[in-house]
Amino acid sequence: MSDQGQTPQGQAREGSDDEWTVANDPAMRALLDHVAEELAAEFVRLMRAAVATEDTKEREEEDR
Amino acid sequence: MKAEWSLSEASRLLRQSQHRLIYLCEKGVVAPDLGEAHGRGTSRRFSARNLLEFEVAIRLRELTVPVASIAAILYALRAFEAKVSRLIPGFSLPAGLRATRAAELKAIITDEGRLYFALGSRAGHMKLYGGIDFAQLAVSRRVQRRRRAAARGQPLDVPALADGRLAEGAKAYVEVNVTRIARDLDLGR
Repeated sequence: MSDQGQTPQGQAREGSDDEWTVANDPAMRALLDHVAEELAAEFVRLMRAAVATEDTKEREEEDR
Repeated sequence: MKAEWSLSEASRLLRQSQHRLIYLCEKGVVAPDLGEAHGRGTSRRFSARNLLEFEVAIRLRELTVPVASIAAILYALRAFEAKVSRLIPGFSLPAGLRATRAAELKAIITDEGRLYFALGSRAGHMKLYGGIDFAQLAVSRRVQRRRRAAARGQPLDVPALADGRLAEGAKAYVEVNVTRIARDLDLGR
């Protein structure tokens, strides 16, 4: 979808969510922060698991 | 590697018009990290993270996701980056998602207006997070104020995910793969 040269319908559609933004909604920001916290914890867990798996593989190859 | 881009450089790199990038800045979707325009003689300067944000925003706009919802998704991505960097010093976007060991991160919006994030290893199972109801929150400020006053002191209302699945009523959804966008981002040399 282009944001240029909008029709009045397009402008109305753009404007339909203008009332609410994340900047003016602390409750929404708190929810998003909470989700980001969970995502970050899982992301780090997966990264560390991937590193551990690689280390194990390397050790196994060295042992052979 | 380059660390700063002007509006015209960002426009060329992303193959998008400058007007479109300015629109996303003026709507508060992307906040230039390295310099905001404050009238004549000043110009926006963008970081690599800003380029990732533009790409994600543009993909979501192509899927007709409202700009306010996109701004919320990018807010969550920034919060995610800040929280990961507390655990892994030096972590930043998009570099952190371009790493070979990095998990796959996706943003999903259902036809019911719920936002989820999916995270998992590339080969493995993706786990869902969120389920935040955008549709319910996209109401007037007066209604929001009333809700906030009523909810003061209450715990956060993060919807429970049933077995990590999308909400029962969801029949369709759009999905943007943030990790793939980060990996494919041409940051130049």
